[in-house]
Amino acid sequence: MEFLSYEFMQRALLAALLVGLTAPTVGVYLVQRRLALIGDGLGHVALAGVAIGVLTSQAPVLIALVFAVGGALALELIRARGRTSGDVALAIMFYGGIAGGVVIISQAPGGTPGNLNAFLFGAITTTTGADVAIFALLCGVVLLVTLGLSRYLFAVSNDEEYAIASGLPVLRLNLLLVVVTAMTVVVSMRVIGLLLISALMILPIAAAQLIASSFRQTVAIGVGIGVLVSVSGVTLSFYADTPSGGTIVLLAIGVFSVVALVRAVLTAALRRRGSTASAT
Amino acid sequence: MRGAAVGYDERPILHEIDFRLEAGEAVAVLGPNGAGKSTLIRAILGLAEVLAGSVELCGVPRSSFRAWHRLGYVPQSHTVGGGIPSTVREVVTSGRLARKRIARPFSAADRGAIDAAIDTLGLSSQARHPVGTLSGGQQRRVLIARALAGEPELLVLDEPTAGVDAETRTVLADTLARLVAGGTTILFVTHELGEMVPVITRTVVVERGRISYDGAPLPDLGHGSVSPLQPADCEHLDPHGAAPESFSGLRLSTGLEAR
Repeated sequence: MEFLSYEFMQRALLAALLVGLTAPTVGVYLVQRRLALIGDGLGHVALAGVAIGVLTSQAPVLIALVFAVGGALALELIRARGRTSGDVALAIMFYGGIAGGVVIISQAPGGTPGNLNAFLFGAITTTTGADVAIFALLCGVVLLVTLGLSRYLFAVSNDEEYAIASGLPVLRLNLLLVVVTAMTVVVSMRVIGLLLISALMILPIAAAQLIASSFRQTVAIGVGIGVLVSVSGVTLSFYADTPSGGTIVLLAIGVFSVVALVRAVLTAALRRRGSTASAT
Repeated sequence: MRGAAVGYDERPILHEIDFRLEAGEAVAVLGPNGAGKSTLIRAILGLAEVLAGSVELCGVPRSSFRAWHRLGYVPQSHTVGGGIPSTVREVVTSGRLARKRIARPFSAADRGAIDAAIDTLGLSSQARHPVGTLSGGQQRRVLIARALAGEPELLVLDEPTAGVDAETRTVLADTLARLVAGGTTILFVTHELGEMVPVITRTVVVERGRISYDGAPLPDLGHGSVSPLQPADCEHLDPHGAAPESFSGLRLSTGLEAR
């Protein structure tokens, strides 16, 4: 438990706990709406905000938040109005955000695209006390929305047309969902990184849906996996001296693979037992 | 609907529609594929654009209508939800939300209405089962239970009997008959009347984007089906809704002639 004696590790673990807790509660609705990669698009937009923060020596987290939330609202409004497909809107974000980030950072004194690596892939030593405070506040808002409005978000993500016919405020709920997605992306930037956050939104839910029998159960199991891989990933990255984001995501892929394998073996065994019983 | 043109992306599918639904009616909307039957009900539900004329709900223009909880909708889809597992109860619960102010907790009355809707469709023993593990017919019942959970005054169903088993069709017809007897207004699009014949009080036929018949229900022709209607079928219909005799000569899918 030597790693707990380091203050930077305490901060990193706290940030990992927060992101592990919140990413799956958002991701479950994104997976259901088949918008699983929106986190990637918002991560790229946030990168442009980070670069401006570095260039102007202002708080990169807050500027990234403004960019990610603005991008999220624009994306959803474009999608809702059907002016262009969600894919095209995402593509504009992907490439516009990362291109802007790289160009802007190159203008900073001593700036190179390499300066963005810690934000792109996570670095446990970079989490400050102020970051943790902002992350805790953002996570509180995210959990308040995703858990407090869970029935409404479920109704919209499960059947948007029915939700419209029921008179539910579908556009406002969708906007709220993309805003909390943007907040989750920003919370992740120190520990997992802007390029890898989508994995923590999707993989725990993808693993959970293989073994859960209800939406609520999927969220609960997904959060459990999210917390497990993010906290253990940060710990592992301390000892193995690896980037925390990559370590967390590889662990998440490992958990998904094990769950999928065990499920496939059990399903095959049950099927074999069923066919044997029917033959006798 | 008064002189309404309805469509999507500014392209009209329905033209000059005059249609009034009275409380307590059970109206079947018939017509060939692509005639605009589903667009008619989608206009009422706010899912299709009103391009000309007017659509009013309970005397209120659709754009100003807020009492959506008075309407229940069963869409045409045969399956429920996406990739995430969800139970019958979770799906049916979402049908109660229209009656709630946002983020308000569910009351005993809400839970009772959800239980009653599940029970009405014979799904009580499957309430905690994932919807994805149910048969297509059972999933249709889940969608109907979802609509009933809101205790609607008007229930709108799009092809409720399409592609479902005989048991589900019987359950559905019995359920709708009980609802009509209890004062619920029913509007449904269908290709097959089948078990629904005793339920309906009025028939509307839509053909090429216009109402070509609006009047008395089709007679029970004894074999339970008048579908699918072909464009040629509708040429024999009296647009003013004359007595059932006007159906003489209606060509049936079985190739039989109605007399």
